[in-house]
Amino acid sequence: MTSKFLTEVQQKVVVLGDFSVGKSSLILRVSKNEFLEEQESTIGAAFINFSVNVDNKPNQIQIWDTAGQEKFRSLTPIYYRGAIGAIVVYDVSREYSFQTAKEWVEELKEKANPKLIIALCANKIDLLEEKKKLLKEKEYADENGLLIYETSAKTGKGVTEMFVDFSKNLPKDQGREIFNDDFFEEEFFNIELHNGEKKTEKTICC
Amino acid sequence: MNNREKEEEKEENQNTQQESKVQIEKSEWMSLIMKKHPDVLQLHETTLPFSNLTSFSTHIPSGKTEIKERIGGGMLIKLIMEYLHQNNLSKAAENLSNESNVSREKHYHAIDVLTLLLQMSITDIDNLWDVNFSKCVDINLDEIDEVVFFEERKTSLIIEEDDENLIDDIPLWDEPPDSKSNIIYVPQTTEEYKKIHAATLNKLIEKLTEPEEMDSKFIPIFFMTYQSFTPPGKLLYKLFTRYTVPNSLEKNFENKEEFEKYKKKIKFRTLNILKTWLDTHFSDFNQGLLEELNEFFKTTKGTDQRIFKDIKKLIDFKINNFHQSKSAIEIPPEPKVPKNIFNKNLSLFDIDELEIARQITLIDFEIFSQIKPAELLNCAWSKPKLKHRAKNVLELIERFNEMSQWVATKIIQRERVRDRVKILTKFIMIANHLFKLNNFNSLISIMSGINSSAVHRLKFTFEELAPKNTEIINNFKQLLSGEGSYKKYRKHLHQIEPPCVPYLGVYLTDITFIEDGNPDYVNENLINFSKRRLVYDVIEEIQKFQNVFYNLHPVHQIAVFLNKFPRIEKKKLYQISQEREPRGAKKNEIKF
Repeated sequence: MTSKFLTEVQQKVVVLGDFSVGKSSLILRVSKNEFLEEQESTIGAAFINFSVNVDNKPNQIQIWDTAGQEKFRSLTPIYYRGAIGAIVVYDVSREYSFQTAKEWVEELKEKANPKLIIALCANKIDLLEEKKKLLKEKEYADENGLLIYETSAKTGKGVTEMFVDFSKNLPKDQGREIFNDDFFEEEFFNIELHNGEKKTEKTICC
Repeated sequence: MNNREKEEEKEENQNTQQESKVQIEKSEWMSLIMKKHPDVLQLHETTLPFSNLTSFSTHIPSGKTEIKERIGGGMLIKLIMEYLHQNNLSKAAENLSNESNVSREKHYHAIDVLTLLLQMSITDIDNLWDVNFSKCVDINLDEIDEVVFFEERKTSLIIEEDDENLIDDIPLWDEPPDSKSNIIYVPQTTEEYKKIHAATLNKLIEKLTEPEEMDSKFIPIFFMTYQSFTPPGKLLYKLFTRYTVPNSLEKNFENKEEFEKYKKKIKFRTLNILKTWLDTHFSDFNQGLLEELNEFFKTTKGTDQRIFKDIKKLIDFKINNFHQSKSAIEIPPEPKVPKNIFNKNLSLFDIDELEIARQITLIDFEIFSQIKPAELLNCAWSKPKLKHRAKNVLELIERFNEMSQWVATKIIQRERVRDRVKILTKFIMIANHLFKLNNFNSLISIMSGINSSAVHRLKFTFEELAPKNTEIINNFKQLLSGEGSYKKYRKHLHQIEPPCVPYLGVYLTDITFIEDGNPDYVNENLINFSKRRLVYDVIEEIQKFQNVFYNLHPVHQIAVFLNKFPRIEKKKLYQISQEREPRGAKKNEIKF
C-alpha cells in the first residue's frame, strides 16, 4: 500500500431513491458543471470522486450511484454497506417518491451503519410551485436527524452545493474503519467517463 | 368402478381422441383454448374492444347528437354483449347480462338498429382493409396510387405510438434537401466516411437507402436502436414509401433516362436495406408486419420480382429456423447426475455443485440470450408504460432477486450453526463454479444472498467457515464490488472467453446514464444519433455474449429444482436471523 493510501482515505457515499427521481442526473449535473467544459452529447456512465478540504485536510469522497439497477432489490443492502453517507433522493413533483424515500431512510436506520450520515434530497424543485415550502419534508428531516437539500438537476440549482456541503458534514476519520468491509483502490481518479473519452481532475475547494 | 363403466370410459377416451384428429375450425379452436386457459381469455377480453375501434366509429360516429341520445347505459351494455358474443366470449357476455339485468337480443327481427349496425360492422372488421385494398387493385396500380394505398394503410401499420413520435411527420418525399435544419454531421476527423450526429427520421432513411457511403456502423446502429424513436410499423411504411419513387421528381433530372437510373438505384438500395433488416432483426416483424410485406410484394409490379423472391425465401428461412440455431459442434461434458435423481425428495445436497452451477447457467443463458435490443432502449425495463417491451430483462432480474432470497432463506432456515455453515459452504462452492463458468449474473445473485442483511449479521456462522471459503467470499466481494462503477468486474469481463452470462445491472446503469445524460433530440426535432451510437456500444457488447452458447447438457430433474425458489419474505427472514444469533449474544448462548 502506498503512503498516499495512508494519508487519504476514500469515503463512500451512496445515492438512493426511486427510479426516475433524477439520481443519475444529479451526478451528471455535477460532472457537467464542474468537470467538463463543453456539454457534448457524448456522456457515458460516470461516477465521481472528489476531495473536499475540511480543516485543511483533504477528504476523499466517492459517490456511488447505481441508477438503472433499482429492480435488483437484493443488491441494495450490499450497496449501502460500508458507506459513510447516504443521499436519499425523491422527486418533489411526485408524492409517491417521498414515501419511498421514507422507506429508504427507515431501512438505512434499521440496517445500515449506525453512524451513517443521511441526507434527504428534494430534487426537481424547478417543478415546484414557489409557494410550497416543503414544510412536511423539513419536519420529517428534523425529526429523523437528516440533512435536507433542495436541488434541480435540470437547472443545476443546489446540486454542487449539496455534494460539497454534505461532504463537509461527513466525519473525517471514519472512512477506513467503516470501509473495511469493502475493497480499497490504490489509485485515485477524480472523474472517469466510462467511455473513456475524457479524464479530468478537479478538486472542489471549500 | 365396474367393468361396464370402465368400458364406457375407454370408449369416451377413444371418441375424444378421434375428435382431436378431426380438423377443428378456427373459431371453435379459439373457444376451446379460451375455455382451457382462463388467463388467455381474460387477456383476450381486455384487449379486444380496443383493437378494432376504427370500424366501429366509421359506422357510428360518436359525435352525432341523435346517436348520443339513443345510446343509454342499457344500450351500451347490449352493444358490448353483442360484441363479446360475436367473438365467442359468450360466458363473459352472460356474466355481464346477469350483473346488469340487461338481456341480450336474440332474435334478429326484434333487434335494435344499433345492434344490427354493430353486427354489420363486426363482420366488416376483418374485411375492412381488404376492401380498400381491392379498390386499389381495380384501378390498375401505377406508382402514385401505391402512395395513396400506403397512406391509407398507414394507421394499420403504426401500432404503438409513443409521445415522442408525435413530432411533426413530413411525408418522406417532401423532406427538403440536406441542411442544418434536418441533418448535422459529427465534425469530420481523419475518418473517410461521414458520421451523422443528428437528423430527422426522413433524412436517416434517405441516408440508409442512398448509394452514398456512410460510416460502416451506421446501418447496424440504426436497426439496433430505431425503436427508441420510431416503431417498426412506421419504419416499414417509410421504406415502402421510399421504394415508391414519385414520378413528379423527374423534372429534377436532365432526361428520363437519368431519372430511371436514379429510381432503379433507390429501389434496389431500399430492398437491400429491407433484406438487411429482416436478416439481422427478424424478431421486429410480428405477424401483422409480415402480412404487410406480403401484400407489398403482391401488389408491387416492376422489375424487382427476383429480389422479392429472395426476400420471401429469407423470410421462410427465418420462420423455419427461428428456434434452431444452437447446434453445438462438440459433445458436451457428461453431466454429473446423482443416483437418486428420480427420487421425489431430491435435495440440494444430493447434487454436485458443478452440476447445479451448470443447470443454473443453462436456464440463465436461455433468458439472457432472448433479450432484444428494444428491451434496453429508453430504459424500458423501469418505465411502467414500456415494461411490456422488456420481458426478458425483467424475467432475469426477477430470477436474480428470487435466487438470492432463496439462498438467504436456505441458510437462515437451519437452526444450528454447523448446519448453516454446511449449506453456506455448499453455496460458496456453487458460486465458485459459476465464476468458472463465467455466469456473473447468478454469481452476484448468490453472493448477494450470502451478503444479505439477514445472513451477513450471523457472526458465529461466518467464524466457523473454513478459511479457504472465507477467502473465496472476500475475493468475490472485491471483484464484484460496485466501486468505481464496477471497475474490477468490468476489467475481468473483458478478459474472459465467452460463453458468459454477464451481470445485467452494469449495462442497465450504463444505459440509464446515457439516456439521462443525453437528449433524445437535438435542436428540438433532430433524432440524436450520437446518443444511439453510445447505446449501440452497450447493446453490442451484450449481443457479443448472447451469440456464444454454452455447450452443456440440460438435466431436467435438476433444472426443475432451480427454476422456482421457495423463499421466506425479507422482513420475516431478518426476524428469524435475529432469533438464530441474537444481537450481542455470547458464544455459549448459540446453538452449534
